[in-house]
Amino acid sequence: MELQGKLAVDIEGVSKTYSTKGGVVKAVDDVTMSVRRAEVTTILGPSGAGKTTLLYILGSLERPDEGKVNVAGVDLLDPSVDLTEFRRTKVGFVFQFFNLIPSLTAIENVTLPMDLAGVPAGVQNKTAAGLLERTRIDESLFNRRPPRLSGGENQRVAIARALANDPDVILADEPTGNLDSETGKVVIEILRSLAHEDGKCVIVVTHDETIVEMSDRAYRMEDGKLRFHRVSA
Amino acid sequence: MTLGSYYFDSVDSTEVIKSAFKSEVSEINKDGKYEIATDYSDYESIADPLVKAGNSSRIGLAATLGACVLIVILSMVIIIGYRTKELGILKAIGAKNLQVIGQYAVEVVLICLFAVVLASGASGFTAKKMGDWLLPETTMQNGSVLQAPSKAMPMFARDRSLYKEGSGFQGVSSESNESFATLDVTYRGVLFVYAALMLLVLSLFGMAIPVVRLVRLEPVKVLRME
Ligand SMILES: Nc1ncnc2c1ncn2[C@@H]1O[C@H](COP(=O)(O)OP(=O)(O)O)[C@@H](O)[C@H]1O
Ligand SMILES: [Mg+2]
Repeated sequence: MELQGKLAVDIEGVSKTYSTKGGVVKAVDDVTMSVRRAEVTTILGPSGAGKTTLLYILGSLERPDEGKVNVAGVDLLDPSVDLTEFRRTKVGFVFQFFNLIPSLTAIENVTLPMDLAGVPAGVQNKTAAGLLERTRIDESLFNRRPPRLSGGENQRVAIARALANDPDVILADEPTGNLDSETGKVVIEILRSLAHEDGKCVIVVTHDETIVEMSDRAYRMEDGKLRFHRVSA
Repeated sequence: MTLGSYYFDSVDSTEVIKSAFKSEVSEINKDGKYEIATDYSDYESIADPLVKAGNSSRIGLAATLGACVLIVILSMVIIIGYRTKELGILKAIGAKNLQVIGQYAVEVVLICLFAVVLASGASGFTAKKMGDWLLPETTMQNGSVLQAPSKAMPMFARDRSLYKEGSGFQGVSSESNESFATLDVTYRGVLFVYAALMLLVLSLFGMAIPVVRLVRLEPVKVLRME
């Protein structure tokens, strides 16, 4: 595939330290990593390993103390870069606890990022409906609010939201952590199809070994250190 | 010779009354000699309860307004606290500061409108209660005195200035004596707009601090709270 081989994420020597009352924590320690488009990359590691911190650095939510960070062709440490714009259009987040807006319906949650990006109102609903279909949400659920949707449905709506502005990179933080294994499997299948059919760069952070089986490339993370784990057959 | 008792509500209107007096009394008293005796304590005994009623309703109004401003500020703090997560998510998915503030401001304005309706209702109610509470006394003690001049005197000086603008009261027409003892609480358009504006301005001030917090809010802090 043409998209394969292009680097979507390219980071080098990235470190992030938190100072707390209890002392200094090196959450991310000299991490270098390149991730291609059209692949699912997993980062496996125990709780506290620094996975979320690394993911947030890739999504511009955290700023590293040192290193180079290039995501979707954007140098995140260049002070002239508009990070809000970057978050709105270049990356899509999927969280363990979905983080949908409870007062908005499923489809409104998906149109929200389009709204923020100034997409014309006429286009929004059509696009959102297409994305929800893509993530296997039945049309009868479009106007339900998140509290009235199941966990799996919530997460699929959240994936549709992450896709709203057609980002290059999907960053998923324990996307199945709050789901049973069956619904988790569906979520992973959807994420895989986004990589393989739409050419997205999908990065999944998890402590679930079974997800690693379904990924194209896997890293292991421990005590802030990242090391290569395996490539799928 | 005494023609009757005349009560003036204010020292300021003396000149007006004098000239009105002159034109009326000089008809009867051809030699042009007359005397104006001012009995201030009499005036006070009539006017005091009314002035008091006016004042206390003003205090009531201020108190309810104050309470409403407090409600508005409190609800904003609650909104910010309760919805920090949502606002943080908005930021995480790429909302600009202005968009987040806009989201929040819409709610604040809605709450303000609600508070204005509440405030005007509450202050109207308090004013009415205050009036009811103070005025029956007035009628009992001074009823006769109050009614006497209403027959004898040209009415230019009476209720008009006893009920001052902004008190929330409107004097009842002087034609009917029985209704004089009650106060009609009416919503004055001007007063309403005034209260609404005041609330809005105060709320905007109250908004400033949460807005600064919103701008500084780091989405990561919110996302890590789970
Ligand atoms: N805001 C913060 N302040 C202080 N320490 C933090 C903060 N965020 C994360 N940490 C610490 O950094 C380390 C890595 O955290 P995290 O990236 O969340 O790990 P993981 O997602 O792998 O469980 C942990 O020890 C955690 O306690
Ligand atoms: Mg984590």
